[in-house]
Amino acid sequence: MDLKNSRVIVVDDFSHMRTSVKQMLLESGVTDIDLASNGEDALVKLSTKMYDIILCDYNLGEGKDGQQVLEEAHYKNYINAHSLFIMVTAENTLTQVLGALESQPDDYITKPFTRDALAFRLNKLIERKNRLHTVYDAIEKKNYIQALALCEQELANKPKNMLDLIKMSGDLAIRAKDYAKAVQIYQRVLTIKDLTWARFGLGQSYFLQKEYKKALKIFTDLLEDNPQYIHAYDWLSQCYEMLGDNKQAQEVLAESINLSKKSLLRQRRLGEVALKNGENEVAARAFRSAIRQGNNSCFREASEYVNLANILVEEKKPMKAITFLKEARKDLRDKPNEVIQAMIVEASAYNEVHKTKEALKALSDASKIEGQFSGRIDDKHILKLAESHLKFGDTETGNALLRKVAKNHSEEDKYLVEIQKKFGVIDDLQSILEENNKLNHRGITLVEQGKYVEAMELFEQACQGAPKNCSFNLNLAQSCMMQIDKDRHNEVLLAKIQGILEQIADFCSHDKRYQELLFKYKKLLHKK
Amino acid sequence: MSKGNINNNFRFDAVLALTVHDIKNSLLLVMDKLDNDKVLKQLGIDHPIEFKYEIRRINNNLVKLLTLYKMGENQYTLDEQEYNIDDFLQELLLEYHSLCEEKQIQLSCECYSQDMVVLFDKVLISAVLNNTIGNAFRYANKQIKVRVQEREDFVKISVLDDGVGYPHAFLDGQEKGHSIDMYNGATGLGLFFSKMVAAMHVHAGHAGYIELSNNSELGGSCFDLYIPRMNFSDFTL
Repeated sequence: MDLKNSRVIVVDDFSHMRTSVKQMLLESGVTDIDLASNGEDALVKLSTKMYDIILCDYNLGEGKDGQQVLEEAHYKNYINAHSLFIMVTAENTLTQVLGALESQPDDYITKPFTRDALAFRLNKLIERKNRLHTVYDAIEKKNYIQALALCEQELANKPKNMLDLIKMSGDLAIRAKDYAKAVQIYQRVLTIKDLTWARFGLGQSYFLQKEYKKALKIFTDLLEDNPQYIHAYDWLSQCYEMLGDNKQAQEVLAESINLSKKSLLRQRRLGEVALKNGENEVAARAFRSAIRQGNNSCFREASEYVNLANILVEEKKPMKAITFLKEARKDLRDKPNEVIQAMIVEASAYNEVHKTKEALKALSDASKIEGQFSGRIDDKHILKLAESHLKFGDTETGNALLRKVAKNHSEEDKYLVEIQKKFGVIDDLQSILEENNKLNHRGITLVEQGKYVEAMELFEQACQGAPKNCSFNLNLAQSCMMQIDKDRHNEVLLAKIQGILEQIADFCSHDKRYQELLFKYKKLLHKK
Repeated sequence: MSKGNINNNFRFDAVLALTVHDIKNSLLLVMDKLDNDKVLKQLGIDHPIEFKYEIRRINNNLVKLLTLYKMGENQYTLDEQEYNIDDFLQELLLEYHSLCEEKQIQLSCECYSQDMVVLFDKVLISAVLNNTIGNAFRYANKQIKVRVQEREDFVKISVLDDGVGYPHAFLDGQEKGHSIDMYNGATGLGLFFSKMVAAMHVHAGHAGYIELSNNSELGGSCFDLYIPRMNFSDFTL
């Protein structure tokens, strides 16, 4: 990439500013320049054209601000790891207030700036992206393990931008879910210099390792020194929540909302925590704010609708609840996992007013979506859906859904025990488990005989029937690794392992075997 | 504090931020016009240098004002990041090159740092250097020099000129250990700010500081800013 051939978009609500910046870019040799006057306009343009450089003012008047544009563009893949997103600000302390882990701009540039200064900065940023091209390539492919390995290689050469790479490594270790490594990186930085980002990263890593007490201490201390660091409040409140202190969690959230007004996520979390504390009034207010702020946002979820509806049902206002849930159906239509939850609650709200026909219709709509997006729906929603079907006397549909969930689990994991506790033993649940065990045994025998290709085939098939089964997936990954060990290096298999590990990270990352395989996979990458 | 008070503070912050944003927009527009020869011709401005200099001064003071306000409100936290000192100075000096050219001042930069990486708060250190180079620009006859050197645990950034030098009151106050205070007017405020910013940069028991002197090798004033260095070169993952 070079500046002259870059596709650039300038986002600013002030028309003179747009033309001024465009003029500067033209004089620096850029020819492909588009302009957008607000966040919404920018997102429309970003959705239809891939830009190399986005120069976006943070303050865009009414509507979305620059950070929201960045987050949505990221979420919707309008920008990729190779694009340069530069936040234009009038103030300098924004860096600390903004920037969640995944949505940090590549740089901030402070107004006012001259043509030369802008070109100088853009060229430096392009140079950096080019220098780290392979790392960003791996990030773009979501192969964070490889990206981290590449960063390590770079660091071994003692480049001049050491700390930049160290910071990136910590971030990548977290994204690769290698929390032990992340802790190690941040701790080493902190022995040299007490840097806020390293403290924040360490706190996050502890939290993700479920070391909530350690994390709590880090975030508390950080906020004492740096009360403006808004994301630390979010994590601190989660620490309290995990440690069972919901009162404190709520207090911390309320504090952070005082600091930042546009915060769908925080309002939602405040509502959820307040609900746990039995403060329905606070909760209802927070959920209403969340729905309002979620207007046109890709980050809205069922939570705010469903919880508000539940509160309304409790207050004996079921019809009002149903209105919100109908809205949810519309607002969440592109999110199957979310819309299903809303439909289930819709069914129970109809049930409250004895409209059984409407209730059953809502449930069958939900089942349709579950079938349509099979494999993508979270087990806990499927369980809820099964429960509702059973409640309405539809044992057949209910049990079919339970079987579907059961297939994704093995005997030793507690999920099945919970299902059995809740729903009683369904006749064939035991046989599903036995079938799973048999499959695993057969596969493992094949592995022991050195028949890795056959084992791979077997586990692959098993995974198709139960895409979220940790045991099947991990055995598949392991068979692939054994095959690589036996048959030298193999790019296709390596990519396959990465795909599996990534796919199951959400529900298996705390499995000991998952961590072991991750470690082995990294060793394989190094060998290469 | 009552709830009402908190809300008032919050709104005041937001208004302040919006106002600064607006002023900065205006400054950028004027700066852009002053860089455009066609516009200058239309307006009949032959020597935009005075305007350019004053625009930069307004901006620099705005940054100082906002930073001091935030420090007063306990809202400013040092944002230390890693910078390549060469790149940083090159970018900072960009705008002074054309200014100095017009006033026929020779601006040179000597960097003996070999791509040294230093951790500092860019906005604050830029404000300090802008203030100093701005002063040098005002008082220099023909020459300004910016120099970077490694000094044990510090990186030393010096700004030298061939002007008349600092008034004695400044240098005396420094020796007596007095803080350089407000009674010296605008320059006094600049030095007060610089001193504070330098001291905010602390590492391994070393705090940053400034030194002022006269009779520099160019004959005029010499401003030395010391920022503590740190070493990440032994870092391994």
